Amino acid sequence: MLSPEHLHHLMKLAHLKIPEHEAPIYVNSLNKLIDILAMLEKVELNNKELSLSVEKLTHLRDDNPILPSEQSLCEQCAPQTISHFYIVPKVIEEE
Amino acid sequence: MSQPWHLRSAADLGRALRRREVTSVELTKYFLNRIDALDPKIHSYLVVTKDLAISQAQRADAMIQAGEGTLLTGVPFAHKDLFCTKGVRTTAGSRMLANFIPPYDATVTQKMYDAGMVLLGKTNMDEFAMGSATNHSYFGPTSNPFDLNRVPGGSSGGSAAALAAGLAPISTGSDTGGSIRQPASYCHLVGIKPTYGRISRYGMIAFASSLDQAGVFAHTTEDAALLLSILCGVDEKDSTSSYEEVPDFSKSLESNQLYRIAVPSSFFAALDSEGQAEFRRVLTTLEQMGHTVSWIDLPIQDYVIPTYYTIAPAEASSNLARYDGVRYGHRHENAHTLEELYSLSRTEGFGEEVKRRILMGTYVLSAGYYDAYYQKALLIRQHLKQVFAKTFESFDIIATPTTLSAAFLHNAHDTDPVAMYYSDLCTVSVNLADLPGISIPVMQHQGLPFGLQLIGRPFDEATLLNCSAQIERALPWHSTHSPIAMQEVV
Amino acid sequence: MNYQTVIGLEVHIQLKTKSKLFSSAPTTFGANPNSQANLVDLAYPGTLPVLNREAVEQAIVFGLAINAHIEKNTFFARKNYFYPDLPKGYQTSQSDKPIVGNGTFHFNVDDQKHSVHIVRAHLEEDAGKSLHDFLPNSSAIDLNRAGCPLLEIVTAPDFSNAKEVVAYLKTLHRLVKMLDICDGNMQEGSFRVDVNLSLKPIGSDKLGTRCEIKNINSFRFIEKAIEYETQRQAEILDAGGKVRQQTRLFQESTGQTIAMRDKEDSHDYRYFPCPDLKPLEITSEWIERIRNTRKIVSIEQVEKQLIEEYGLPAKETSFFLDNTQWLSYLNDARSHLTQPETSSKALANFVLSECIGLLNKNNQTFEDFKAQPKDLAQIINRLSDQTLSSKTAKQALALIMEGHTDVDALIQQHNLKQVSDVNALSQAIDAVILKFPSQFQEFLSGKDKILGFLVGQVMKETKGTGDPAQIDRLFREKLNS
Repeated sequence: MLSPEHLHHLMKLAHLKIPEHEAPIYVNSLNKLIDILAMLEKVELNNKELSLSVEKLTHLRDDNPILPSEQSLCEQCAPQTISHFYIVPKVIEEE
Repeated sequence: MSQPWHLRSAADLGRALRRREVTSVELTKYFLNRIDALDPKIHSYLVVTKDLAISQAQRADAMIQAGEGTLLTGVPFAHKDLFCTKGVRTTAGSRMLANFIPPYDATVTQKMYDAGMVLLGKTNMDEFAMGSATNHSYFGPTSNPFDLNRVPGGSSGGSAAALAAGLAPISTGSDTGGSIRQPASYCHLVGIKPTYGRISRYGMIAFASSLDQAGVFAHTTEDAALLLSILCGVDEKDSTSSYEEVPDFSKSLESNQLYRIAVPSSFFAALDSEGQAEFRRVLTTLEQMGHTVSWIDLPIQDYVIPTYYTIAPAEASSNLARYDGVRYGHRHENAHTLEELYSLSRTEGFGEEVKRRILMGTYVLSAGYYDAYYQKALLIRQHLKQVFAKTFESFDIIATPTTLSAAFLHNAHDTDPVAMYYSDLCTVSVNLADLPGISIPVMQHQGLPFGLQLIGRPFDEATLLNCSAQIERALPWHSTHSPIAMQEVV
Repeated sequence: MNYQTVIGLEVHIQLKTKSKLFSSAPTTFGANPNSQANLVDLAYPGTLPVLNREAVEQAIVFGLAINAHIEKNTFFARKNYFYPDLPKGYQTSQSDKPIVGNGTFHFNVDDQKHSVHIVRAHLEEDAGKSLHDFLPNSSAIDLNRAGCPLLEIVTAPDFSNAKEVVAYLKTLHRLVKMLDICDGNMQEGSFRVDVNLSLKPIGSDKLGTRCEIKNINSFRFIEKAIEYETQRQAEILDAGGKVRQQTRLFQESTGQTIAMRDKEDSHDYRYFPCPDLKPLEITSEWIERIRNTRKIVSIEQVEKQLIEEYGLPAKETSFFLDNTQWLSYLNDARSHLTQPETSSKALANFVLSECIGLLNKNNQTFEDFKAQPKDLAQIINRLSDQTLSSKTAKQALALIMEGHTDVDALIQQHNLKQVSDVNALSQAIDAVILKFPSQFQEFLSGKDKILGFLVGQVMKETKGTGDPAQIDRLFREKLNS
């Protein structure tokens, strides 16, 4: 069962800030989902089938550089740019 | 007395265009007119691209005049708002992208433009393709043209409803766990999801990368075959797209080849008595046509839903991490710290269902849970592929109901959103096993449409389309129209 | 208390491809902000990765060069975390089954043979850059570097001091440049070192808590960082405390390491195989093709070649080992020598003393060196057959460095042919004797040292074309007559 603390941990990893009053809704539905997932445990698999994937990558790209042509269109999509940089609140790297 | 344009198939419209009975501009205006008058009732479109449509129609008319193009040149279409359209707002049904104007076209979009098809507009959908009713759209729900109190299905509900209401002759959708086939079932349409890798995912906003696949809604098998041929093909921009040859699917419709059809008893058993009676009626018809129908044991129903709801949310949680308010999309105003920027932009931008699935995906991938959930689900998926492969050694097609009943009422699952996940029961295994699947509108439940699903071998869409065409000849469905479709517009 | 320092290294090298690992944008350094970030790099909705074959092959080249295991079925995994320089919210990297597995790296520490265990080398995409001093309350993000291909080379914690670390790094640096898979430019971030350091009491088996010092970009700073960090941890342990596991940065101004803020509260990267990329199969045929078409060399091999074929003393091989573009040039020129067995040494010395000398004098580099390898070789050929004198050879060099070509034509045009003809030289000698009668007398009376002056004057008289050996001989003959 998912505890509120665990939900907070998941929220931190996913960078979601669900308000306190809504948390029970999520805990509830997530627990229902976790119940459904319990079925996974019960499936027994033959050891022969343990390779994860059979298909191989067939798409390999030649090393030909192409200068991007959409920079100005992309800047139009951007919430905030200054002198072609994307701007975020200051990040502090040192403790 | 010929039928009104919106009750005819896209191929028919194409033939009329080529006979110069009508121009693409005229057809386009016809549908735009209908959208204007009738869409408020069902809310299938999020944006109508009037000016673009007219200019594309003019170009298409020139192509037809010059003897260029294909049967679908000049035919208008509705496009699920999951596909990027350059210069045209693309929202994925979400507040996160409410004002997003892509700087590029999806490969699917480009192919349709190149074929001379005409974009009528972008259709409503469950946010980021997560849902089965088109009731999780930031922009409000879509209603089923057969019964406005009911859902059209999801996540491609807008594209299905637009077609069923006669607001477009053909439309596109995407299918991750049933999002084309289920709405097709609820809206009396042909809905096909080809084999994973057939259609490029470049420009299709990602939900679950290993399951997502674009597909088609149509009134007839011929229409589905025609558009599928245009959309399929390898794309160097999508590493998961397949190099498998693409046949001209419209050539595989005429023959009356006979098939060995397998019917899994467990899905049949999940139907109620009316559903079972309907299903038996269809099976009898198949036998009368000469096909061999055999009941098989396919004991997968217990684990397909848990497997799907492990893999899809996991991939989604990672695919949706890019929505952080930095380079595009919704950004929380006046965020003081980076953490605020991220968490508030995302919390505001995503709806409840999306947040739920992101959290679920984070859970199944997180340390201590990965092996038991995600890793296990991947192994079960391989096992499932082998189960299907074994079945296809003795059979050509697997037939199931697409859904267990007709469309449900609008708020039927509001108190228990997780219960709605089970409406995907018949469809998810097809995505998990990378197989092609088609829903055809030959059954009814309580007076409302519900569909027969045919599942085929990998890359064997031709067999599905041929069988569908045969069924279409034996059990024609074209006289059933939604009440909205029956409404004429001056 | 005496401690044993235990160090493991992670080196990120930026592979020498023209386009990025999963997108076709260019990798050139120093472009205008975000001018080399395309839709895939910016993680636009609907965009997808496509793997660069060249990056894969360069990784395999490295693996082959250190005789490491090459993984037959490698795959890419997503490392999920949030940071502004990471547009997708995950880095496409490798977890299990990295492309290069176990290998051993040999190097010398003060002429002593050493080796360390390479645990793995894997491919991953680089992140962009954040500028924190651009604005007072904001950080500015440039995603040009996002998506560039990196090969992360990880050693076991086999190092015990800074000297070993620096020796390994210098050798690795040399190797990747020699293999032509990295330009080794540390200032531009092509070769980044993370040091993992812990201390354990001498005699103990149990490893201590380690700290990671990230992104040090000079060998000198690496030494200082190791010294400081060893001291810092020793002081904590001596005082009875516990070393906290941290990521630290080396502060160049103070010579100290400082703790970084945790980017994520929990380091749960939730690795899973990237569903946009299928597993990559590396067949034996592919590996053979790479072996046959690329230069898979070892430093020992090249050094041996420099000593044996070019006659360079062991101490003078460094220049060519560290400057692979000159090494390639040298080998190219050598292929045009008419008698390589006898003139390779002259060629190498000529490059070192004359070519490099001239470039340095004009503050120029290899990029400014316009002389063609075949022309340089021809100068050596003509020196060997005495057509050119050492002086006129320098003149010829100056000409080909200006971009002129066809040495034999230049010799004709500019009169560079060494004059050995007795009659022609006698005329010049006579002229010099007339100009400097007293010096000539001194020579005749036995002052051998004045011969150099006289020969020099004849050289001047012949505008440098005189054959000095012949002039010397002719003067000496006069002694006897």
